[in-house]
Amino acid sequence: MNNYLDVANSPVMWLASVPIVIVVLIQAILYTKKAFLAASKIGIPKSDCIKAFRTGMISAIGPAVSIFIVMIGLMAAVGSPVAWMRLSIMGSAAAEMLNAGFGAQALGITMGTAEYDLRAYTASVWGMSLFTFGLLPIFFFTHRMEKVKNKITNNNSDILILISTACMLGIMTYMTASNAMKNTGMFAAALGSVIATYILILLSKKYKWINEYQLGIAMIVGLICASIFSGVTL
Amino acid sequence: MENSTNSENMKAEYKKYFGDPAIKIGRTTVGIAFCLAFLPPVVLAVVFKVIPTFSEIISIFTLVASAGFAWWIVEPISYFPVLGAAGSYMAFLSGNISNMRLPCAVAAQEAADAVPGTEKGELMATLGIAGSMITNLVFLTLGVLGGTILLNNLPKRVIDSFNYVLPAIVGSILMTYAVKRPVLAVIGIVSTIFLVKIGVLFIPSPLIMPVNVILILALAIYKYRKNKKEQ
Repeated sequence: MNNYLDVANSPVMWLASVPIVIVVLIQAILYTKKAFLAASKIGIPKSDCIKAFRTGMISAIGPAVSIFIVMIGLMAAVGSPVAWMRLSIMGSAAAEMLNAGFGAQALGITMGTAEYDLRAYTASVWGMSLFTFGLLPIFFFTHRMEKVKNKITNNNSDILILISTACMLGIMTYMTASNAMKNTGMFAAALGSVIATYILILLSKKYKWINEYQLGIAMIVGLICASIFSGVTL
Repeated sequence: MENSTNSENMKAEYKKYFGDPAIKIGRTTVGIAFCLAFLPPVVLAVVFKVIPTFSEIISIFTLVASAGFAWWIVEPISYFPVLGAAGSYMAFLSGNISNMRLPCAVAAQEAADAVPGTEKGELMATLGIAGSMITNLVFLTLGVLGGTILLNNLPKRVIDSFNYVLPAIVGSILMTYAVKRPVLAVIGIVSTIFLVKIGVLFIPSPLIMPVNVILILALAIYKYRKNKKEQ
């Protein structure tokens, strides 16, 4: 009944999953090299580049832990190699779960039940792979958007700064408010983190090093607030 | 005058050393990755001789696409002004954009004193995202090797608290921007509440975030023009 996991965790499936993760790694390395080179050409100190890279690494720890927790669930369902691969690329953990479920659903089988066999597993893998079609708009349109951007802004720095700040505010107010409205735990997490960030910003004017840990510290404060208030109902 | 030729020069250098190569790297890696994403189903078919029927594949695709299609179009457009070309290729290939890539890009810009939307801003965001990709890979790989053991030994309360990571992360990033433009931030929150409670009745859900973005963008441009006229 569970022998699909023998296939799902087989060395061959590992071999099938590793190449795309290597591409992700290579991409990160290539962009890092180019960014360092370009920075030196336009007079940005190397120390800033190192700081930016290190901050990215540190700030990603919190979200990476939460992805890793979902991965354990996905591993139990579709085996280690595919779970590891899918969460290293595209989409989010929730999207991958959904797509794996869609695959099985197309065969009339529910994930996590006894009927979930090798055929259903294969369908789940197809579901997750077909989701990759979402990369095509990136492949076909990103370089064109770059041209459109240059035309619209005519390399006017003021306008570029304005547009990217306003878009970010539109995205983040939506993400924060819509999540905070879901329940008290979510609300407490958002509010705790917002207040902590404000205090950290004030502190970082005096203690510059705080900047690199700001997101990590704010997240931990948010999580603590959430776990205190999540049981509270208003 | 000298200043403006300097900045022209800088822009040309930037395009030569980063703008153009960034697109080449992005298209190549994303193109290869698209093909490699189908390796597991192909291996299942060739090695293990299991493949869904053609009609089953069509129905899987229909389910996946009907849930994902709007996002496939809306997200690249919404995130582009913030991520830039290099950031878009990286963030969409490695996923987890709103909970990891975008926050790490902003944190990196803050740490390196870079203004978003400038050349330096784009470079620092790129480095921040690259750093986050390394962390993610390390954690997932360690997780695959020893995750189950670790998870069994962590208190349940700690594990449960990670359900709340998303609002904590985006809340912090919101605050870093709210300090710069407090009025726009407050309007954005109010408009989100309206959109989520009332707008959702007549706006399809994948379009709610873009509507909010367009609203804030329009307001920001209106204020910018008004200020310019007054000068």
